[in-house]
Amino acid sequence: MLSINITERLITESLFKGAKTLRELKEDTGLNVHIIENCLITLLGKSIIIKEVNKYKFNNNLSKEAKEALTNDSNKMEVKKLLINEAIDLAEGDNLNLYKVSLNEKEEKILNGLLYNVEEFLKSIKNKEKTKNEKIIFWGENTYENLIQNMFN
Amino acid sequence: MNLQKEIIAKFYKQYPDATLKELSSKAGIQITRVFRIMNGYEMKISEYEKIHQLIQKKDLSETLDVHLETYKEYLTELSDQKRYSLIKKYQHHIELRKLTIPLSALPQTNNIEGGFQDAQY
Repeated sequence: MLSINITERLITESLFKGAKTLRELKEDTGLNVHIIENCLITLLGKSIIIKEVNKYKFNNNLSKEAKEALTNDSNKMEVKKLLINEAIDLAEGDNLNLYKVSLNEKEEKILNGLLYNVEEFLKSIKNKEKTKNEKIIFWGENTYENLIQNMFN
Repeated sequence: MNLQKEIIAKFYKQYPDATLKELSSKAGIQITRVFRIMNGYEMKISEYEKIHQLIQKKDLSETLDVHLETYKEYLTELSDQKRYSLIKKYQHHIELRKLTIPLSALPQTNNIEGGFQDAQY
């Protein structure tokens, strides 16, 4: 199965917004030029992007395999985990919040409603910033028991 | 000069409290040279190599050994699923590190059609 690493994904997302030269890609992603060059070679090889004159652009006629690599649920979950791990690694002070609470049915419904609103709000925002400046916002929940049990697996 | 800044930053990451004198004695570079380098003078290749070796030596002798021992012990306790996900994580990081190697250092990529004409700036 075709796979795509996190930096290739970042470059693909940047090119999905519009065709770019190498210099523009560097500016938009904040990646080191050697990393970009290596990823472009791979992405060209996988036909996820194409080159036109000096610009690289997202290939709108993706193969079934390439589409699968970009949208497959397990790949997306891996990317989420990678980004969340890094965010936790970098977390300081208010960058990371955690609450341990017992919720009754009513409180759970309220929380879900609030989270739904946050999600809808985030979905409605159009990305106008450089890709590198996009914020990574995440939340999730589990029971204390599950997390502790998992530590022993 | 970027490589010089990178290696100095790496050195101070490993030896955060090192004085110029300590850097001089550990790397075997004259203290006057260390002072100049820290004040923006360009490093000689031999000086770069000395600091590079120093960093590698510490990496291997301390961090790596301790890490490997701990990791081996940890691996034996893990479930298959967790072991698999850890291996994948390490492989992913190794793959990402490889991406920092310049294309010019990878002869097999020189034949790629199209090239990177706009890479030189």
